Amino acid sequence: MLMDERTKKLLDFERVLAELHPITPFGIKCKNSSRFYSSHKKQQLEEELLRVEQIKGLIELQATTFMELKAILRQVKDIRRSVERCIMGGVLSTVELFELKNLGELIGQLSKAQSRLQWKLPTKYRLEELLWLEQLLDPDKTGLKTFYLYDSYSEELTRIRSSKQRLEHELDRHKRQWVKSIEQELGVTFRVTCELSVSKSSTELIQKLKSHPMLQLTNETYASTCFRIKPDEEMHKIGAELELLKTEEAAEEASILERLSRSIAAHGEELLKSMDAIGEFDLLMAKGYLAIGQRAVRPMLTDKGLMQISDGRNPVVEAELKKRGKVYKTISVCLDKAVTLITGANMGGKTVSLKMMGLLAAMAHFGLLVPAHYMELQLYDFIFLSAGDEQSIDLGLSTFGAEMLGIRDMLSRTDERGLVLVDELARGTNPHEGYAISFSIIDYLLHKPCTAVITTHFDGLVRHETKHLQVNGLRNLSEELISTPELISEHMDYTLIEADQSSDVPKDAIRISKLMGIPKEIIDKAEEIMKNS
Amino acid sequence: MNLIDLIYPQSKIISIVGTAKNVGKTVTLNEIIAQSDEKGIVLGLISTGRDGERRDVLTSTEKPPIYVKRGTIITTVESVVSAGDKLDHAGIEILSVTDYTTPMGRVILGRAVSDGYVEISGPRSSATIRHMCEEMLAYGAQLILIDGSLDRRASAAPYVSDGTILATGAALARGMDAVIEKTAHIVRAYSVPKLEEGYLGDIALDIIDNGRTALVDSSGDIKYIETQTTLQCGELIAESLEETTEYIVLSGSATAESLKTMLLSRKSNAKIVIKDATRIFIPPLEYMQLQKLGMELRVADKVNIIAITVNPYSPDGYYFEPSELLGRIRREIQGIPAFDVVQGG
Repeated sequence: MLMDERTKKLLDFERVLAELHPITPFGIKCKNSSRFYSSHKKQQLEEELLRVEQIKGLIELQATTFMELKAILRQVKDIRRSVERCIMGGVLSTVELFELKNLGELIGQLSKAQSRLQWKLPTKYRLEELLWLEQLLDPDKTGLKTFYLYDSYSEELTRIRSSKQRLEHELDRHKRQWVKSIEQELGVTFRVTCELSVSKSSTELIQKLKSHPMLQLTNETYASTCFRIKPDEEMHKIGAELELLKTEEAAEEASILERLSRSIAAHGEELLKSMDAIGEFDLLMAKGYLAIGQRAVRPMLTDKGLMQISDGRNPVVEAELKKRGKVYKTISVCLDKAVTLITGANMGGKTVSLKMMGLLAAMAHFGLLVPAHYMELQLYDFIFLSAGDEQSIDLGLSTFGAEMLGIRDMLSRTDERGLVLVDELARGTNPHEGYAISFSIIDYLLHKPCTAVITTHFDGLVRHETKHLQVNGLRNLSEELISTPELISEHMDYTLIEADQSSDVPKDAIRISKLMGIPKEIIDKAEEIMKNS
Repeated sequence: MNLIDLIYPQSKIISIVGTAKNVGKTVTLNEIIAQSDEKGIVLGLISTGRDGERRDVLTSTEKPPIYVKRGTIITTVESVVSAGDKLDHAGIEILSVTDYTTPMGRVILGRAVSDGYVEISGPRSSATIRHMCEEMLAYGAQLILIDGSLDRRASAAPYVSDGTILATGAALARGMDAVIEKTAHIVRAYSVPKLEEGYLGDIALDIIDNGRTALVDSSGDIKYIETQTTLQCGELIAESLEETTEYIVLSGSATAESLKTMLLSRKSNAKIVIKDATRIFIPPLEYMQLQKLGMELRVADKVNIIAITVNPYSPDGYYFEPSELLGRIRREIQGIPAFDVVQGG
């Protein structure tokens, strides 16, 4: 497992995934079943990243074709269950056949649009027209999207239906002939439905109608009497024939549905493959669109054991800042030693930088391009982040207890290649012991195949084997420039610069406190204490 | 003059609603279908969220099924189209399968390829019904009939249609006087004029759309009234009324009591605006009294009643003398033509 749920949550990885928007139900399923590539699948990941880069370039180059592709994908419905049922021997209903016909049509459109792309798509994304399906469900070659069990499905059906129509017409003609003759005979007016309704007050007329050989009483209320034409021998005969035909029609339709279902089942695997291809292609497009939105690049996968990011951006934080009209300040970092320590100003963006490293590494492992100018890394077996875990505190653990619980789990995996990110190691306990534990953990990690990045305020953790990065912070600014707390973040220089192995942790906590408006007498006293120590 | 002559070609979408259950709505529907067929009009049929049951569960009276001619466009549901065992049903060519679902499956647009019985269904929301109507017109229907309802929960039908046929009859009340009075009252509520167009009217319309209660004065200023329930808002509004108040916009229902409170404290000729006629909860007698107090109502959505159909029979076994009922409806509800679709005439 690349990351545990806690690290995933701390990194906001779900929020990155939430920005990945496949269109079709197949694409969404594909996304939900996607996993991180493990380190021994480097080759496959490499190929995936190349494909995402390729599609990203194509989206920019052939925008109109992709608009068309998206419009087609939006119409795709998930009918996998119908197809699976059909393969298992089930008979499809006319509604299912209609949906299948539409899917076939959409696959045809996708295939045509795909072939206009300036890229020979790998087979798993490629859709081929299903000509057999078109022939099967559009037997009259009308090109219409509608569906009906067409007469042309069998000669028998054609015969039944045309006889039925002829007989119905015949019956109607017969009935209307009688209506006409009775209307002339008795001076009454039938309704268009060939029914006659007479008010009870016309007793004489009702008597006449009742005794009429061609009329039949259908409904009698206190107020009126209704009549209809009484079928004569001929009409009875036609009626009986019609009933027979209706039964025959239903049976014939059932057998055609059965026949169509068997033909479809024979191509069932091909249909399922097409649906898979739609899902894969849809997800690939979504990755391409995400990369364009994040101005992302393809990370280079190396075996050099290091991770390097230049001008990396945390996409979650960047999106938040953008909403507030602010610009994300990029971070460059090269992790080429087993342990890297980051020190420097409070509010210096150390936590954000740390999360950015973890998030970009996670995105690369998921087959996504990364928001940076350049990134190279060797694949990891796990990514671990420890940074103020509120949930564990809810469980009744102290800040320190919760941190150590996480660290313990991480340490148990250190024989694998891991990216270990720890924000302010041992901050939740007394500085004296905190320092000792930190020193010891760093010592342990120095001899493991991991890449660890640890932010700290403790002096003396930096040593010969570690790399030391410092946040540039506010060091080059005069105090007059920063008159309000809001201006601190405005002027904060988040750049990480490589510092001397021996240099101590910069001290600007008092300065920040002062800028935040802590009373002068307290600040003065604190400065005095610092001078004397 | 036939019913169809009042409908087509003036209107493209018509709803048929009943004043109560069993007042002959389906008879009316079938009559319009038969008359349209005679004139060769291609129909589109849709119902507002009915479940296609042939038997009315409550009264267990037989609901007359709908018989259509070949070529009719219908809105129905998946389970009806998929069941191939109903011999007297019309064959249905599937035109589209929508994403709207009902307990009977997805809503489907189809075309009858033979004459026969059909089961009409449809979605519930007004926007969706409107959308389906437009689809049916696009598939070639010349006139859409919505089998609708006056029920508040499913009152959408009259508002998406160009015109409404109101079916009434003996089932509405035991006595003929009561049937006429209740029908007249419904017609009166549905005849409340539409909110005036223009600057102030637009402001009032916005307030209605946002579901707020407020006063609009002659210069267009809005004073919102924060109330928990509409029932109590009468006094709050009464206190806020001024000489310049033009519209009293009510988000909820108009009840006799709250309206009376408002009218008695009025300092101007303020008109009362409500969303639509289904928001009026005022018994006939109180309605007259409020009118004497100078009540002027306006609605944001207006229903256009084209005709009234009358059914003199009740499934409970009683009936009225058909010609007398029709005659009195015609005399006492002026301006709207009435027909007896059961008896003819």
